[in-house]
Amino acid sequence: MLTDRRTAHAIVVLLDEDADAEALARMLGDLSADEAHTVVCLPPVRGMAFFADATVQRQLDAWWAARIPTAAIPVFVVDHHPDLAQWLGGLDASCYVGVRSEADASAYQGTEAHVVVIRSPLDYAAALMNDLVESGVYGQTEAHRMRSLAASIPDRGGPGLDMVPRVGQVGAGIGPDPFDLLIAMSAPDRNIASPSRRTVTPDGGDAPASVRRGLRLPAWTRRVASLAKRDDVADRELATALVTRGSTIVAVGSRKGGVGKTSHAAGVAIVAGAALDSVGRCAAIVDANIANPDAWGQLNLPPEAATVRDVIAALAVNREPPRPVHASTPALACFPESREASEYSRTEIGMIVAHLRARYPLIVVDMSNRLPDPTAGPEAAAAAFWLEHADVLVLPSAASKQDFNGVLDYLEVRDIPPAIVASLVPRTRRNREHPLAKRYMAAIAQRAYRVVDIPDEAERVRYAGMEGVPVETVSGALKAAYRELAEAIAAAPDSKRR
Amino acid sequence: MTPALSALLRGALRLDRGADHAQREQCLEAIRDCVERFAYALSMMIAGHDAPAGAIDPLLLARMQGALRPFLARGDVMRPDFGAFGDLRVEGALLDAGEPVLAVLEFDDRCVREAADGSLVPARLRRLRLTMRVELDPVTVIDCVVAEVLPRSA
Repeated sequence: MLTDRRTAHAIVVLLDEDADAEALARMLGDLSADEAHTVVCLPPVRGMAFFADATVQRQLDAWWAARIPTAAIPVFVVDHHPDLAQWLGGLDASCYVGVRSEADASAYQGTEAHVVVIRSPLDYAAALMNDLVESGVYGQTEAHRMRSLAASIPDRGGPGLDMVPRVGQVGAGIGPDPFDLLIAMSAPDRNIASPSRRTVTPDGGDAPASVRRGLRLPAWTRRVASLAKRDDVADRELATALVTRGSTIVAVGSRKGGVGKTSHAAGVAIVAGAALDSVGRCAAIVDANIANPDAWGQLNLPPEAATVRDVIAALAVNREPPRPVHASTPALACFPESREASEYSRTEIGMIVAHLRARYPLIVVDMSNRLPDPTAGPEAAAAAFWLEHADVLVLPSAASKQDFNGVLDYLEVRDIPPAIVASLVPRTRRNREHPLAKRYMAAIAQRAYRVVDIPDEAERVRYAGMEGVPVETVSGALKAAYRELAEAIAAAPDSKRR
Repeated sequence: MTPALSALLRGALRLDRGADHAQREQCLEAIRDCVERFAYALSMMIAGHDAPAGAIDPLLLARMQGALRPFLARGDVMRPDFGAFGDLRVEGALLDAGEPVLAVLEFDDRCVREAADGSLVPARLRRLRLTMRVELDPVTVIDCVVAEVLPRSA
């Protein structure tokens, strides 16, 4: 409320564009040096309608009585309109009108309006703040800074209030990248480093130097990612189930290749990672397929990504392991494998397991195409060592006799954790309902903890690989299936937990 | 100068340097915190949310919001992911609160664009550098330049 005798100002922002009006009002309010004598407000009706629409005048009268102090000088900020000038004569107020051409400006000759040539809403703010410095509404420094900023905005020479031209067009239908816009905002000739700046050494004095610090950034990344539009409720439920369960290692194994093991591992990890994101946690995916470490192309990992071998090597000498790369999907830490990897000992696998368990609620391990056996070569040994730590085993299966037998063989392995069979559902009814397939599936269902159907979307999976996007983004059915798989993992009994 | 006085002076000097060091560390912590909040605010903005007040000068905030408007106006938002760690370098006279310091933050842009139709488009996986002028009293980012960090071989 305005209380004492100093002149009060009521700045009424009437810009047509909602975003511009709100931004300008917020800016003018935030920068005010005399909050006790200044109100900045947005009326319910703006633009020409504020003056000319008779049907809303009663509403505006009520608004005005409630919001504008009686003794305050009104200051209108409004966009040019061909009919506006006739409404300004006789107004007991200051009026800042934004124009884009001299022709528009000429319409206000003979009025007391302050005509402002605008390229952005900052021009309104600069003009108004400059004029109100003497009244004490705004500080000289802020007004000067606002003028500089307004002047630094490049002139687009076109209509609209966008401050910068669109840049960084990636392709048809894709809009500008936000960082390209911010780079454009940072004009190339701007160098904000002062040449006279002194720097400090860590031990004192003014010798030129700088201080370098690591900055951990994940907390806000997750908080913000969790605010993005998505299936929040389902995500949160899945995330809660996974977190409540405790750190879970999911081994995705197979006796033979070509059953979609890597696709399924990536799919379930991505869906679980996105869900965990909603509670500020992160999933991990590990390539334990030492015989074929290139299978992760679909995750688009950069070539310099830290590998499983790098992490184990660091842990072995008690060094901080290199941080993992994250796939294009947020909240999924990726540990690929190097081509040089030959074999791992039980101790080495134990070290990386302990490292991962301390950090991630869900760790998906893409294993090699071997039955686990510590004595049957490096790949089978690595599978066996990982399986010793696994809490859940996922066995992908396609609809062929070899695949069914491969799953049954795996289910015969001793001391395996609860097994979930991810069964690829054939596209043709003849294969789906074949009596032999049904008998196999019945046998598998008896031995497995759970069977989850995965739609056969091989074409889409290939497309995702070509596009370099996660498979779950190209098929809603796949995404739903992977979610079901993740939910089954979260609900699996933990009798095997060590 | 007697050996005793000399020793006393050395001790006093050490105390002064110790106090300066503590103050500098405190200042660095405050800058680190401010930069983290600034980065958080930036991620909020590209995700289509209001930026929290505090770490950014209102003028700079308005400028950034204006710059991002063409992106947000399409209905697109980003799922921000700047990688797990950023590299922060601070240059300036940390004991002189009257003069802004320079903070340079480099991080990996791993954001994913969520288009208005729900489709997801990964970012270009590039490294970005934010060069910020940071006022020390109160600790606030008053200006910022965003640039892409090109590979050294380029």
